[in-house]
Amino acid sequence: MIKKKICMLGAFAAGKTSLVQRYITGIFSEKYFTTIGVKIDKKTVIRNEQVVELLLWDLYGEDKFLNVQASYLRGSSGYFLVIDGTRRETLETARILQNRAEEAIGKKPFVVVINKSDLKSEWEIDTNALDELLSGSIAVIETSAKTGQCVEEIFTTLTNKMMEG
Amino acid sequence: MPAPILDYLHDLTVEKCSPAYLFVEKDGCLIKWGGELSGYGIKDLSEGESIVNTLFFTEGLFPLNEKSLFFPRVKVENNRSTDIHIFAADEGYWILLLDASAEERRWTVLQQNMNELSLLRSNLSKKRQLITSMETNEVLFNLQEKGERRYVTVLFAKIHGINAYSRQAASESLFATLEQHFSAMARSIIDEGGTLNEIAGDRLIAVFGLEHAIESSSLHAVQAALSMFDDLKEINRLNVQHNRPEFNIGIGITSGQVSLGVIRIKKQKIFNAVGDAVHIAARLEQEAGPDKIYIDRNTFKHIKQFQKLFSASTLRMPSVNETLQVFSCEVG
Ligand SMILES: Nc1nc2c(ncn2[C@@H]2O[C@H](COP(=O)(O)OP(=O)(O)O)[C@@H](O)[C@H]2O)c(=O)[nH]1
Ligand SMILES: [Mg+2]
Repeated sequence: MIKKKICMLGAFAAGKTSLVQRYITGIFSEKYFTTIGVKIDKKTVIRNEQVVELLLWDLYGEDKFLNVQASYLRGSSGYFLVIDGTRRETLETARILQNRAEEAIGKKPFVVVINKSDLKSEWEIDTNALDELLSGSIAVIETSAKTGQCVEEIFTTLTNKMMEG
Repeated sequence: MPAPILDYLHDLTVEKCSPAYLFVEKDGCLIKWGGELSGYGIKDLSEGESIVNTLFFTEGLFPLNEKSLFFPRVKVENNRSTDIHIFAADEGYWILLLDASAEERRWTVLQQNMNELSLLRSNLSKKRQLITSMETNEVLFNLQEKGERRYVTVLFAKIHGINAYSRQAASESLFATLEQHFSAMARSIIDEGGTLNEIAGDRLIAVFGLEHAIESSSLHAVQAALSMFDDLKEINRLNVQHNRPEFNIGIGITSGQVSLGVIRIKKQKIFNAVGDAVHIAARLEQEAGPDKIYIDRNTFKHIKQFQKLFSASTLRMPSVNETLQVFSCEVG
């Protein structure tokens, strides 16, 4: 069976855990429990008549005091950069993490996820105005772990790309 | 080391973390294993089999590029927080699993509190922009690049006694004190919709009315000032309990047209407010001294519900060549 390791990267409380849980169990919770270290979940999907097992590494959030360790990224076939649309500073964090990821594992496909699209009126980020660095991504997708909007899509997009390369 | 100490250390570091190990060839094929593997949900192992199928956290790792890899606090299916160490030997790799549940519990409390606080703060400063210098905000509060005149309320606050304290205190306690006071004062300013413009030495400058309607800026500034005194009482009470010194603050507030703009120095942009109101607010703060709020007539006019706290007097201002009517309030 083909296995692919995927890392969820982003600032704390951007919605990494919520996206993974929504994808795997279909459930969303309003309550915020910070992730400590990493939680690894599995999901099996069929792509081009092949069974692929996705190993989803849901990492703790990056912040000023606690940087995401590069070791966690080793062996990833791709990753998500999760941004919280309602907090502009999480875009900066995504940029830092993108750099760190590229240093650690080289150029790997990544999808920029701008989460919390159900709160669009409070957004501080304009998806159309995202800069160069993030345009190195294979896609920029707006999601909501709350409503489920585009959650399947981000995983499908990344998986398809990983299966090409 | 004497044997009892080694035994004790052994207990401390080894027994408590339920170690389990595996030894694999460079390509990830299992050679041998031992320890409490079942505690980590690892079973049905057979020699020669590729480890990647059983230990899916090793996906993509072999052959290892580095001498060792450390994955702190990993949770797999069985939900036990595990420290995973992988290190190279001549013939292959050692994989060492250690229980990290206790460590995880400690981190949870810390990290959860820290993150919630950060969220709260970012929420607050979102509503009430806190600025001293701006690198990213191109247009601040709709301020034109060329600057503009606006009616605002300016607040100067000084912590009295800091200079004297700085001569005898360790710089560490000095800055802890400054931070304690200034963060409380900044909170009052932000809560009232003001903008912290500058902190210089023992003084703080804030501007009100960059965001909201003209008259209410006076009211918000005075409310912020009163709330600073409330906080100060609490801070002093705590500090006295811990044998730390007490401080007093004095505040000057004025309202009027000032020129607001942005000064560029290299890449930095610094917000600046210039005008009589700024100048006079600074003067009023000096005049106030500890435990007093001095405000000008413009400010007084717009604070109906607080007017009874203030009494009128006059102040000579040679620099603007006039005698000003001022209103003072004794606090505390
Ligand atoms: N409204 C809304 N809230 C979300 C969304 N995704 C996550 N959240 C909330 O944001 C907080 C942080 O989510 P979490 O998944 O723990 O973030 P993580 O730290 O990146 O793993 C939680 O309170 C979630 O309920 C979303 O799409 N919409
Ligand atoms: Mg999380």
